[in-house]
Amino acid sequence: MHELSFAGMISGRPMRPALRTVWITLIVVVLSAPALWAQHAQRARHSRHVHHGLIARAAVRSDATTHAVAEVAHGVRMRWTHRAGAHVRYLLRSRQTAPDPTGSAHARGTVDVLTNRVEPDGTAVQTVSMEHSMSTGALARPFDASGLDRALHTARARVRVDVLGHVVSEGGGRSGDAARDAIAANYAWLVPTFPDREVPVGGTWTDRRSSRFELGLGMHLTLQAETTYTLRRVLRGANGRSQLVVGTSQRLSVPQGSDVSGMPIQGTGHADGQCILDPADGSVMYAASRGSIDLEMPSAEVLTHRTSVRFDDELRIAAGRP
Amino acid sequence: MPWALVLAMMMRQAATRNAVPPRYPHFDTTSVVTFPFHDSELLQRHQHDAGSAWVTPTARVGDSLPLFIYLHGLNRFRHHRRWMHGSQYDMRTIVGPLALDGRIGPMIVAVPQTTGDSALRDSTIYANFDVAGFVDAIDRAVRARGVRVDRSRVIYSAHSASGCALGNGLFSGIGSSAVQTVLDIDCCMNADFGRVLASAPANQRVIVVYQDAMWERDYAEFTESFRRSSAASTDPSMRVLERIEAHGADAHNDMVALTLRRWLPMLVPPREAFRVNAP
Repeated sequence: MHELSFAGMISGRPMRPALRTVWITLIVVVLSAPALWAQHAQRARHSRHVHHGLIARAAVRSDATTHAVAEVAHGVRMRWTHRAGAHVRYLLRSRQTAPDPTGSAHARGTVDVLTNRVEPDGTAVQTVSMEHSMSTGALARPFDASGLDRALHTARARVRVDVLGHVVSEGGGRSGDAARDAIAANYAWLVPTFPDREVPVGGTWTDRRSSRFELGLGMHLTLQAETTYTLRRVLRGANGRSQLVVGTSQRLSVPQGSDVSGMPIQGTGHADGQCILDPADGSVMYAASRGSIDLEMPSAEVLTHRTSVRFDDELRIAAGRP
Repeated sequence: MPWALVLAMMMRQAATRNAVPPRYPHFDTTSVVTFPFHDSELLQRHQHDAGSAWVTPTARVGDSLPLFIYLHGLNRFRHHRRWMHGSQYDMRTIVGPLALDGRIGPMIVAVPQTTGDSALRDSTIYANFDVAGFVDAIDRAVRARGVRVDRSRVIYSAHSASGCALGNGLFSGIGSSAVQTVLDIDCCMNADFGRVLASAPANQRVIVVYQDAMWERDYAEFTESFRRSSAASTDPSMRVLERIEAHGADAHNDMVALTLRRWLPMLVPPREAFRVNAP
């Protein structure tokens, strides 16, 4: 007895089970395509409608049961929305590698951000604290020659974050406290900024930042970045809020004037990454960045020392809010 | 976005490690300036350039820098560039991190090398050493690096057997106008040495550091003699006698690093004060 199959009917020959499964799947897909397409189009229309509403700063809840994705055709005006009393914890990890004799270092840490109050213009006054641990290769001495590392664990920085993501240490500038300034500067680098205009999906904007890190014992190092952001997608999360997928491409530099115990240091580098932002929650959900920076240390001892640092960093928002 | 603070810390680490590795490869004399200095007296015939100097990477072109001279001990295996050639004991790995951690200011470290027959006995090593001539030679050599010796801040030290004969080695520096500070690192100890060291000119600082875990010497006689002769000194900081609790199989050599880590920050303080304001 011959097996009955569509292919078999055509060819008049029996078919192998695996091939038969492929044929059946193909037939099912072809027959159901029109219905699926209609369903997708309806869902996309609904999602687009929801996202337009969200991006117009309205935190509209959706009754959609799926994690639908809608790409916005028109411009998006992005704003950070903060809520007094909100407490966000970020988990950070970093792997850094430099040629011998430095070796590699692994760092893990948390950054806690408490929003103390929100001013009428949307600017948040926040308290930021940081804990971290760093392990280095056998060749390296401990980082904490200066006591800065210890100081970081107890310091709290008060910052102001506006709706575009500009972070300013309260008081406007350097407080004279190395640990507090370092925490504020570090936080400023974690928060992406938005432009004060609409940006379509695929559109870009740029910002520049410069932070001076006092590293103890008279050492200070300025890190500058010109960051080009690309709005890649607008997602709708399970919570119904829109989330932005933003690509980052950075040109990094350590300008002349930085100083490691009297040894001048300068350098250039780059970093590429991506982040997922939840502006309505005032939080970064995820960020990853990978890059390198080449350093030069001209000194009287020899003409110039050269080295480089590669890094691979990741930030995640803690699953359970503290 | 990179984790900026950790990146800054790592860059600091990379910069300092690159400028001064925790350990140099064997026989590596990277960044050491060598120059001739009494080669025929100090070295074997086939060797040259008894002088060696190293400038901390924290120095800047145009600087006038304190000078630390170190006379090594007996050289039984006639190693050229002792304490400057990537062995377990290397001046660069002792002084470099102090400079890069901001504990001392920029400075020049110089070691006159001796490998000749005289380097085999404590009575002949660095015989009648020409301290002032060595300071001149260093100054000429490091000018190629754009720095010069601050002649008002010369520290003259000797370790072990190089402080065992009056008139030689360490004792060549006593009373020399080229030397402001004499640093005795675990050298010979008897009543005569104690008296001569303590009787140095009043404006010449003398610091004696020793251990008694190994190498038995006349500690009591030395200390008594040193204290008695120091009594005339009006400034106690100009005559220092210090015993360090050193342990381990090689406490005598370990004394060099222990002494420098303790005393260089005081003798060559950093250019600027600490700027960390920890809560």
